[in-house]
Amino acid sequence: MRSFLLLFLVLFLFGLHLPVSAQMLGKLEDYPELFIAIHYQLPDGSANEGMQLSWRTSEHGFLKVKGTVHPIKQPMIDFDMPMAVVAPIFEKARDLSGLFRLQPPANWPSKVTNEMFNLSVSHSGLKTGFYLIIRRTNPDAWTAAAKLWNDLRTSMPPANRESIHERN
Amino acid sequence: MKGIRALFLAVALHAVPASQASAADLQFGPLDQYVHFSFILRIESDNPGDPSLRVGLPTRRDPSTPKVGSVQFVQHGRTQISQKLDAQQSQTLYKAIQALLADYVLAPPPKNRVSSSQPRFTVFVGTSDESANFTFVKDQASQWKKATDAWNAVRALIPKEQIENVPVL
Repeated sequence: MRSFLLLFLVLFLFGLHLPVSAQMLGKLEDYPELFIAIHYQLPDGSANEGMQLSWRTSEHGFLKVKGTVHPIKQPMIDFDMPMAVVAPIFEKARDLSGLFRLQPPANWPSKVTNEMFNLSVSHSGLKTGFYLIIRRTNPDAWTAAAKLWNDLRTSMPPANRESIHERN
Repeated sequence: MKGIRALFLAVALHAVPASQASAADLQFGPLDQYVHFSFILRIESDNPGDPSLRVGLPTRRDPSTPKVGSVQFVQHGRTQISQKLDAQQSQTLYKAIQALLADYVLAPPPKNRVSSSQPRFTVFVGTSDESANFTFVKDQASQWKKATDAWNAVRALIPKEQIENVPVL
C-alpha cells in the first residue's frame, strides 16, 4: 500500500508539472484569430498546391471561418466554411507541430527530393507564427501532415475539393 | 484494497493526459551527425536593410562540408562582418539555438492590438532535410527574452573592434 501511495504521488506530481502544451500550439481558445496554411510541393519541385483555413472570433463565438484552395497552376479561391471544421483541423495542425524534428538524418546520402509539405501557422495581423518544412525523412511528421491535408481537403465544399489531390 | 489501489492509479494517470506525453522538442542530435546545420537570426521591421546574423556550424557527416563554423553580420543586403568560429564557439551557438527554440509555443495574441510595424525577430533553422522559421514579437515577453539572449550570444562572438556595428537586441 505504501508503494502504491508513492507511485500515486510521483505520477500525480509529474502530471501537474508537465507543460500546459506539448506542441507548438496551445489550446484552441488561446487563439481568437488564426491562419493555418498547408502546401504540398511535387517531388520534381515543379509546382505546388495548397489549402488554407482561417478564423476570427468575438466574445460571442465565431464570426468568420474562411477556407481557401490553391490548385496546381491555378488562382486561389476563397469561400466561407462551417465553424465545425475549425476544432478538428486545429488539433491536426497541433499534432503535426509536435512531431516536427530537427534531428540528424538517419541515412546519408539520403534520397531527398523536392517533395515537401509546408505548414504555416500565424496570427493574422501580427506576422507572428511558425513555418515548417516537412519531408518524408521524418515519417511520423509526414503521416501527420498527410492526415491534416486529407482532412482539410475533405472539409472543403465538394466543388472546391475536386481541385485538390489527396496525398499520402 | 484492490479497489482503492485502482482508484489511486486512475486518479494519478488522469493527471498525465496523453496529449502531453511529448514536449514540443525538436530533438536536436549531436552536431557532428548533421550533414548541414545553419541558422539565421533577423531583426525585421518594415524598413529595408534589416540586420541579420547568419551562422553556419561545422558538421562531419559529409566530408565536403566546411569543418569550421562561421558567423556573418548582414545588413542592407551585404555581408558587413564575417568571422570564423572555433569548436567551442560553435558548440556555444549550437546550445544557444537549442535554448531559443526549446518548448516553443505560439503565444496567444496580446490583448491590445500590436502594430504590425513593430519590430519582429525571426529565426530560420535548417538542416539538410528539414527547416523551420519562427517569429517572435516584443509583446510576448518570455519568448522575446529568449530571442534577445540568442541574438546577444551570437553578437558576443563578433570581434571587439567591429562589435559596435552590430545592434544590441
